[in-house]
Amino acid sequence: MSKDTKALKIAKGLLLLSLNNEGKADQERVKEIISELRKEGVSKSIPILQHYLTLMKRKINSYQGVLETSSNENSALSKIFSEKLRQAMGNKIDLVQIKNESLIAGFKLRIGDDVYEDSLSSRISRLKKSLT
Amino acid sequence: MSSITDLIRKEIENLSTDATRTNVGTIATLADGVARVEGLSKVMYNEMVEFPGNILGIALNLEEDSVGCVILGETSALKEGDEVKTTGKLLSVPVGKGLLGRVVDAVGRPIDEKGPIDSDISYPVERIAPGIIPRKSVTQPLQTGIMAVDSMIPIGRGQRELIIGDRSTGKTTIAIDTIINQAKINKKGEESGDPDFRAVYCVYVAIGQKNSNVARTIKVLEETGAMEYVTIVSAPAADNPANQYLAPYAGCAMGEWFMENGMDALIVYDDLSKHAVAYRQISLILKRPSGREAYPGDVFYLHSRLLERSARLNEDNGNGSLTALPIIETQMGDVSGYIPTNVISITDGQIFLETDLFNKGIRPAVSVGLSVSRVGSAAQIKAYKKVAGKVKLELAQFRELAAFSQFESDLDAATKARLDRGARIVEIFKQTAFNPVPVEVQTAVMWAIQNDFFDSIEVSKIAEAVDSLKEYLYTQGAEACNEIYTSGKLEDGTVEKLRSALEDWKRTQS
Repeated sequence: MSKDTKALKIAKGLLLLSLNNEGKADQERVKEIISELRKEGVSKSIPILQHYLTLMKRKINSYQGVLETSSNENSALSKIFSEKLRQAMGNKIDLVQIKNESLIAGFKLRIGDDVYEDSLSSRISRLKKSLT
Repeated sequence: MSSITDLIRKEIENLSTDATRTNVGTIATLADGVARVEGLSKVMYNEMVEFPGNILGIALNLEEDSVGCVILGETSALKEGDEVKTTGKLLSVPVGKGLLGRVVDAVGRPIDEKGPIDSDISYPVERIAPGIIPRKSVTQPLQTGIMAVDSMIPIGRGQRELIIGDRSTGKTTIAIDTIINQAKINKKGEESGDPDFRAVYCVYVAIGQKNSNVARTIKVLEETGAMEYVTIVSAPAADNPANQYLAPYAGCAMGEWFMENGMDALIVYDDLSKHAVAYRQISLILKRPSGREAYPGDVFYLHSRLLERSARLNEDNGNGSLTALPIIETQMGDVSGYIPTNVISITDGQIFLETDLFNKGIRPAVSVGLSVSRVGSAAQIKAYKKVAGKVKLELAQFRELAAFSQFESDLDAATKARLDRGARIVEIFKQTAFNPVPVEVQTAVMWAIQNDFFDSIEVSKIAEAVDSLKEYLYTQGAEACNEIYTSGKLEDGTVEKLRSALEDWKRTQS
């Protein structure tokens, strides 16, 4: 087994230790893990930390979504999206709403690697593509 | 003006208003035209991905935590952290007759400044080769116009014949001659109005070549009037390795369209050595395990899946064909290299070109001993088969005896006769570049050899005599040649006409 594969295997184990009962990352546990890793030398801990960071990002992205809208923050809208997503995906998705004026109108929702978009800017760029 | 507004209105009406769903990732590392992308969890193998600025790439390595993508364009504007999107499509190229006369890049975009490609159809570059059932034996000849090849190493429609040799031995010239000959045959066939005539369309794929060489090839094809039947797919040495890797598959897809639509096509891969090198470069950057000569383990599959796509289809599947002429460059005449042996084993024969012969002025420098066509005389017209049957043996015997006779002062009459005949055949087979000879004229010249018409001519004057005979056959001997062309046979009446024409020509020589 190569050093990198070993580091990935350890990082996967550490990720499981970092999750709480709901399957979400627990900040206290993460802190503990990092402090334990610090005790190992830099050469050992860095490859593990790199994999741990990638896996953690992916995990957080799986239950946390980013909702981009052209308007200001609207909690009612976030709630509607959260409810619809819970119905569609079967688990609760924490939504963070941010303002993105470049959308012109509509929304862009990102959960994990998936991006759902229905905005005026995307329609314009689709039209531009079909005309060129 | 109104047509433009109508077009825009139509596009707006047809525009989908549904929400889109894409799978995205971000560039983690970027080197030598290959990006490692984090994310893209739903990407398919060989799927096209979109980088910022409408730059396309292909997902080639699907790993547990990242995806290796080759980028098909300028990478200088891309940077770490840029977003990459899936497209849900496999890489496709435009196909059809609209590509004839055009020069395109590895993804089918025109690079000849002649405007957009007139084609509505596209084929994916990676396709499964035809299976056993739709195929048929190779029986119809594909004339190269090169006497040494058509007589001794005949090529059939749907065959894969490798052209192999060291640098500067005339490999590309053989391929270009073949293309020029197809154009000549096509023009003659179209003029004749024969409903059964089947034109051969050509695709020339230039991989890792100098732009000046590609420009020279285009010029030759234009000057000889062959360009209207040819599509050139160019991935020059200055292009990124991803494009050089894709170009043969793109060209093959273009050729397949002709085959699947009941037509005949010829594809030249110039050359697959450089293709393997480009693939090795990509594989090493993608960190795939390397094997012999640092090539990845699937380098055989790289070429076998490409060359298996050339086939002759049966009548139930349109009766089309795709003939392949892959080119391989050897180092110091070594045919036992990794890539040469791989491609030799995949193809149905090879034309081996020797540096020594080339330097001696024997051009095309075809090595009789090492060249072979596994289709054999099945790919020759009956008339040619009749006159060329013994030539290969005679020439091989001559080469053997010529080496042996250097040490012998006293030769018996039979050996001397064989040496004389061999020396004459060698001279007759000498041919200038880009000057293919029609099959009926070749048949007549071969008949003249078999019937001793050259025996009284000095060896040093044979080349001159052959030129004069060809000229004579185009004019005074045209009747006999036309009969050979139309019937494909050497019937008694034709033989008599040919004999009388040759006797007339012989008188002009004395």
